[in-house]
Amino acid sequence: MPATFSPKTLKDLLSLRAQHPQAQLVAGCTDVGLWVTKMHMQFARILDLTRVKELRRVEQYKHHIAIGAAVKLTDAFAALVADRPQLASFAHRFAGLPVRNSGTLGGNVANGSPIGDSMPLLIALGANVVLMSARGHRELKLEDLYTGYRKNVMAKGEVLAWIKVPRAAPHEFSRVYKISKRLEDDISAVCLALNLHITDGMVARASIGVGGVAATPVRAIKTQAALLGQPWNPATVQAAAQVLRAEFSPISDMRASAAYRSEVLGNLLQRYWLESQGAANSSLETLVLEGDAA
Amino acid sequence: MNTQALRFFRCGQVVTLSGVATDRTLLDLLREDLHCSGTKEGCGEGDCGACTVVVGEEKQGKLELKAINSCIRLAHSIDGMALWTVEDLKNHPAQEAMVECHGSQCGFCTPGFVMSLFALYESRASGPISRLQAQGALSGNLCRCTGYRPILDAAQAMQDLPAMRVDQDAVLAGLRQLAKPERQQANTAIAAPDASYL
Repeated sequence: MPATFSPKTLKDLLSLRAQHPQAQLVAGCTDVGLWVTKMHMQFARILDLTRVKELRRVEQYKHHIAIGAAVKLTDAFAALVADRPQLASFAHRFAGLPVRNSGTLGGNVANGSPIGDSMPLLIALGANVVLMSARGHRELKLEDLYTGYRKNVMAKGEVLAWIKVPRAAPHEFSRVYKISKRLEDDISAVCLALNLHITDGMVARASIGVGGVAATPVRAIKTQAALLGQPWNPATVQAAAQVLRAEFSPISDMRASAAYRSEVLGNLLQRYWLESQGAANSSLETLVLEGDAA
Repeated sequence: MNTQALRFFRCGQVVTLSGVATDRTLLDLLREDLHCSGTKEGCGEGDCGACTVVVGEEKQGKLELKAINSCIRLAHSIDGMALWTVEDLKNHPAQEAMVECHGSQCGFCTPGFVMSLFALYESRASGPISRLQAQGALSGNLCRCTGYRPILDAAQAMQDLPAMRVDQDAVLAGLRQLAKPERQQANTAIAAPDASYL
């Protein structure tokens, strides 16, 4: 019998997930909706997790923020921006407001598109995901969720329930850059998120997430290695930018050519360096066209 | 056919619909089943905003209104919520300001812009709306005619027109009635306060 299931508790969600592994799991439906309107897919059974009360919460802990899978992007980004105000413009550019009002952070992560914008950021911030099923739960690094293009390690009956994001650390300098043809309401050609800890002029920690350069969102392991333990200066940045440009083999498509994607990654690292040195006008986003901006 | 009834609160009434398919979009429900064709289909993928409607939910005892894309939203996902479409607004300041500022040309995107403006209007207690706030509220609406300037003018001008607010208490009462199990429901409409009710 066709049905829409909208459980109100986590227990009911997990038991329904076990009973109906074929049901399409949805949250805000901002991507699954396109499978209906563009691919003409039909879903006899829908399991909607947005009413699950436990997963509608943002929980604040000493060392991390836990964002439930039913939390709308608007609210999820509000929580992330409260901790890291520099993410405000990225939150705005993530999608148009009506999409952010429906879509969820958990859905963006679980959907696993290589050009989903939240994952490069969450990888750089060192986020974990919590997968739950009627049998129990497990926690893994966000980047370890993905095994291939829109493929992941989730077993039948498992649900992505929480995203745990470490709080901002005193020595961290974190930025996320989105390259798209249109400032608002557009999809990334490349997304680069950098989170470095600079202490005494040295790179003490390096965490870098990238989107739009592989079949999945990825961590830039080689570039991290090129930065770690090095003095934070132009020579290090230049060397690391070369590593970053060569680390991935992006494809050419209507959003950008492969060569552009590789080139711009290195340029974004240069922008990050400039911003770490106090440069304010390093991107178009800082330009305000209207006099009445206040 | 889906076995669950779909129930939402609109124009002071509980709307109960049965037999709505699981994968029916809210836009198709509005245009094809309810014959409310004021809400438009543009891109069908949540980019252009022509299909924008507003949904309301109770959050910490208060009514929270949000603009959403009805084209990619499943109809059943608004079960238990309040709904406003462009048909439900009657000479609202958002509409009046769009007329006064010449914010509509071909008109296809206008219902979507009006609904985003309506959500912005309701989300602000008082005080002027800045250009940046207006841009943020309209970030999910595309217009090929106007170049946006007159629409942004309208966003800032609507606050200066005579106020017209949603009756929060009445909508909250409707939402709480929806939250009760179905058999306790009166199958009739909740009394709408008056014609100015949104």
